[in-house]
Amino acid sequence: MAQQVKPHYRIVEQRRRAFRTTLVVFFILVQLVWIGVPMLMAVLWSLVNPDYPWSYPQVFPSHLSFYQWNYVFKFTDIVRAIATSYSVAPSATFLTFLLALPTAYILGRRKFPGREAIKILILLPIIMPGMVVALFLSRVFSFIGLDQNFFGLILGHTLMAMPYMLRILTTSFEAIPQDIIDAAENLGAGSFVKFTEIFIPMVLPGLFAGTIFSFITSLEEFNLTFVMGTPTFETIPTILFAFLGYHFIRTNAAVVALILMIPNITMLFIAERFLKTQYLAAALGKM
Amino acid sequence: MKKCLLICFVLFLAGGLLFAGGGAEKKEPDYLVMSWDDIVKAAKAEGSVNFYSWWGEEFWKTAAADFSKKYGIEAKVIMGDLTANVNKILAEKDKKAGSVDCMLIGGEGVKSTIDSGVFYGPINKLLPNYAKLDQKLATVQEGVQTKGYLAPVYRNQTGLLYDPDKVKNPPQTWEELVAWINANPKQFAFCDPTTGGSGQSFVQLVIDKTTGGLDKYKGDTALDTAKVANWNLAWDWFNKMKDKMVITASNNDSLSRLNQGEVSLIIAWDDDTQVNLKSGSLFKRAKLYIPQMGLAGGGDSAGVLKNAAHKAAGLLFVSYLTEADVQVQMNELIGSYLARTDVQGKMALLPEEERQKNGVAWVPAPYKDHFKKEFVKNVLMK
Repeated sequence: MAQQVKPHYRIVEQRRRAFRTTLVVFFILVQLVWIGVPMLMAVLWSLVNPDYPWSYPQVFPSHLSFYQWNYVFKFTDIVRAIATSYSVAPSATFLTFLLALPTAYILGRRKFPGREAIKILILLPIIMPGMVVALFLSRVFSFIGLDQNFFGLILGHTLMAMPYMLRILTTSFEAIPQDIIDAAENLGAGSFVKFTEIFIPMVLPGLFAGTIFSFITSLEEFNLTFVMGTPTFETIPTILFAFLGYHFIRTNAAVVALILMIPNITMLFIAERFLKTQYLAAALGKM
Repeated sequence: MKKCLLICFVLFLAGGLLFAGGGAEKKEPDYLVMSWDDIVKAAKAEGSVNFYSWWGEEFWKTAAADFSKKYGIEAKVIMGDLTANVNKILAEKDKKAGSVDCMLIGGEGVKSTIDSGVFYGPINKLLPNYAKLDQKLATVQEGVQTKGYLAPVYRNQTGLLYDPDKVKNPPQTWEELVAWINANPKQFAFCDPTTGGSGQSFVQLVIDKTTGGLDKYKGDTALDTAKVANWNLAWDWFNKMKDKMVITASNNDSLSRLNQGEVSLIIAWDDDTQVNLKSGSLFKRAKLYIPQMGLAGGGDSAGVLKNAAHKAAGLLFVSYLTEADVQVQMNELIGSYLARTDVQGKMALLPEEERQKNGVAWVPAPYKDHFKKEFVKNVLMK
């Protein structure tokens, strides 16, 4: 009996599958090393027993304890800082959304003189050094009575988050094909229906991405909070900074870094589940 | 109608300005001429105080809690970063009432804050324990004449920190150190002088040993360019030896690298070393000493801000930090060497005799500033 020769398309399919599997495995390995190892180091450093220092040539600490966690919770106002961080961040993100959505619509869908210049100008808060923005904004806020003030803090965080939300939403609005809008108008859709049934669903992926960026930017904002907010308000980064600056204490910094990182990573995973790309795919005729 | 509205508006504005300018501003008491008992009374009336520091939270938080219990004044301690703290008070300099009442100050922050005139005082004749503090540090800190505006809180000292398993004969003289570095390439580390005082101590040592000593700079209040003309010898030395040494990112980065086994001999602060030993970030066998060739030391101090909202409470808190039992507590909790010369602490990585014999003062601030800039230009950027 003659040996069965594999058809060419099967060989190509097998090679493609093998290539995809190799790529996925390689990606997972890179992520494990790039992100997993530093996370593991942070966890281990946060559990070092001070009576048994972790030093070379030990690969892992010989004894673990919760001393470092107790220390941070005892000698810093971390609980209050967590509460402040997680009340400022959602408020700032919501305010950013309210301000950015209509602005991004105009920048993305309308043509007017100076549009490109404005698109660059909105990036200024992230181009300028953070402390410079903080120092000058604090003077303005102090003049109008908004420093050491919760609403002032939210406004400051909104300013820093706006560039991300605006840029992402503007690009999302630009990507919406005009023929869909024309078709809706032909079928009698008014402005409200167009906005709620077409624009919002189609910019939803961008909105989620912008929300995540804005939330994380607010959560990690140090300069503005430190200059305008302390001593009345402390956030996780203002406490973390004391341990990460020139007076870097690895054990304490590991604890505060984990307090900052773990909720962020959890939120990112949750947000991913809601990130749907089928709206935009449908718009581009892929479905 | 429009004319009538305009007239009403102008009258309203004028009236508002009149009333706005008419109210008398509350005059602040001059605490500098008050008795200490009256200051304590005023502090209790103020009811709260905000203190900014950048390290040693275990002591500051404990001291704040004890202060609150003793005087019934709510003391809040904010742990920031030295640069961020200085930026904040400079940003608030023109405010009538700042959010910082008193703060710990040291390093490069001393010059910028004293030059900006942000501190209230002078307080040297006011604080009850001032005369018992280290008067050298009370007069000159980081090479800056502090004119009685700051009260020393602790003294600190740089030394050579090493792993005794790897360093059998720790170098004592300059020649021994250079020979050690040559024999053990990439085993000696010091930090970038722009980010840490331990690095500045080493740069000062190199300048001392290669350019003819430090005595010629004593007492100078401005940079004498003629005296620094031969500093190229120091930069040449650094460039020649750069590949055999490790330049780290900060005081604590040097300590991390020693702990990780990357290097075996570093320049380190005594208090940084103590905190790292206590937190389990440094192996217990590490040994610190001040070599016979001398290394720089000084200390940090506290001051009350000119625009403090709670000036009396700020003065009381700064004075509290200089109390004998509080100084001893500080030494026990964070290993800092007492600023009080009449009280002994139990925790000291470096014996008093060694500090007195081998501790060296900092060069005046203009020279320190100059060598930091020149190091970056002539060594780091080459």
